[in-house]
Amino acid sequence: MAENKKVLIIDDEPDATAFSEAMLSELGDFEIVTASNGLEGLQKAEAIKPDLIILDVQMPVMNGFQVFKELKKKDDTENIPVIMLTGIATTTGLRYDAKDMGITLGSEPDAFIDKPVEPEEFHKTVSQILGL
Amino acid sequence: MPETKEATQFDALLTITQTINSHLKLDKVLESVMDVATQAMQVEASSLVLVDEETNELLFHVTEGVKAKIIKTIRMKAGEGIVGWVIQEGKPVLVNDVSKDPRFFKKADKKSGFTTKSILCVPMSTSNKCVGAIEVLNKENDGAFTKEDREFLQAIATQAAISIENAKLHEQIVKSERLAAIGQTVSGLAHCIKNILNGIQGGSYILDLGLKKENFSNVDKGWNIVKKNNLFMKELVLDMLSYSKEREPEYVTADVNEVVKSVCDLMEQKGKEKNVKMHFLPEDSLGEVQIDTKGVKRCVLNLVSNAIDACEESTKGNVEVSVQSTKGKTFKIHVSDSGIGMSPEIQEKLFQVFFSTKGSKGTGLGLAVSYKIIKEHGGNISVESEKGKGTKFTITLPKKRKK
Repeated sequence: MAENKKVLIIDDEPDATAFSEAMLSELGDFEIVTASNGLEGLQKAEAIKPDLIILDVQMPVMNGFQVFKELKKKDDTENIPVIMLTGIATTTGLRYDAKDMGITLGSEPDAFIDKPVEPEEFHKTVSQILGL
Repeated sequence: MPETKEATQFDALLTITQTINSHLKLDKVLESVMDVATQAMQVEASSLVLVDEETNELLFHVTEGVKAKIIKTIRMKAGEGIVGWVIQEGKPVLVNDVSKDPRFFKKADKKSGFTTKSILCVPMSTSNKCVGAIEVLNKENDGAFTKEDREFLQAIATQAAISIENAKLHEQIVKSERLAAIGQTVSGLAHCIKNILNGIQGGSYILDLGLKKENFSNVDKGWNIVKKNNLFMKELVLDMLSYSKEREPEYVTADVNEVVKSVCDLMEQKGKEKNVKMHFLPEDSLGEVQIDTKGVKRCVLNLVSNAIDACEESTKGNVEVSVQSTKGKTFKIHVSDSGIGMSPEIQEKLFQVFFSTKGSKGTGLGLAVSYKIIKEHGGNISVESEKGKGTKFTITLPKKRKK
């Protein structure tokens, strides 16, 4: 059997990390690494080169948008697929569009999942990206 | 020495300009404009007529002189009467014998009991449309209106039109500012609620998984997450209510040392969990004070909870809470921590509603609510902070209730 895929979860809220871990556990065996803030997440992404990054947006020290931009700047990390999770609500709508983020970030994340996260949507998106 | 007509009219225009620039409410401005105009023009009655934007009817907004009260109740259709014609065409009309003018609206006289003999009516036009008209009726001593009278009244009407336009612009600005504030509040709240919902969703998912696989540590973990988020929701609603309501503090006579100590006791567990040492320094000489204990407790709780969070990253976190009496009529509560500190940019935004540095953990309401509570007491909150060194919040409150 091939090696387990590596997933890096970057989220400041331990309960949200536990939620993502639990959802991933339903999809199979993964090597899960967690980081509790953006900076730590960026360092771990460079060190372990995961197959997928689950990235929260609202975080202290370095937020998800900043992390995403940094990831895209480096050759080592620019091709790692990123799923962004966010509870941000804009004044024009209750969710942040991937398109809006594309403008802000220079490029769009591979997927965008709005909080509260629907496990079905999460499973579908992760399966698609990792080719499960 | 009797003044000349020109001098009287000049004085009147000067008074009107001063009134318009006096920042009074629009209705007051228009009333005084008409009062001055009626006296300067020496007429029996006068009206300022506006177009109702919804019904398009003509409303006698300000009426002066004989039968003023009855005239005020009259409604006319758009284009009706001489005033209607003036508003529609945007041109002045001077009629010294109304019986010969077919545009004259006789029903108004019938209803009011006033007998109109002569009319001078001028439009009130702003840059893009005519918002109404000013009319003066029956020159005293059966005099006739002249071209000079028309020019004088037109000057007044132009001033009044500017006032009306400015008031409308101001109203629009206030309305759009209010809408923007509502939008910001709604998106701030939506963000908080979405995070809490995510907690509940996550907790119940983990709980379900635990039940399915008979893994009771997951059941326990999931259930605790659900309970915690339920509590967050309660806190959010309470903070929202405290923030939105204009209220007077519910003053009671209390011992501040006890109030502050109860907060420290409550927070001790949180401190232990995060490896933060708590110190409480009471002030023995203070005696009893008059405060809203619930409000002040909520405020100190927010500050102490933030102080513990600020120490999270450091290995030797310290939070010190102290009460201090002053020689004057106030006392102080200090909450200082040895945590991460804040940059000047963050300090500036600190008390703004929905501003938070805690990522998904913060609602951005805690400090805004604390600030409001202290201001309602007539007190103040100040902050000193240095990045990497720590933060000190100082609450200053009057010892006795605000009169």
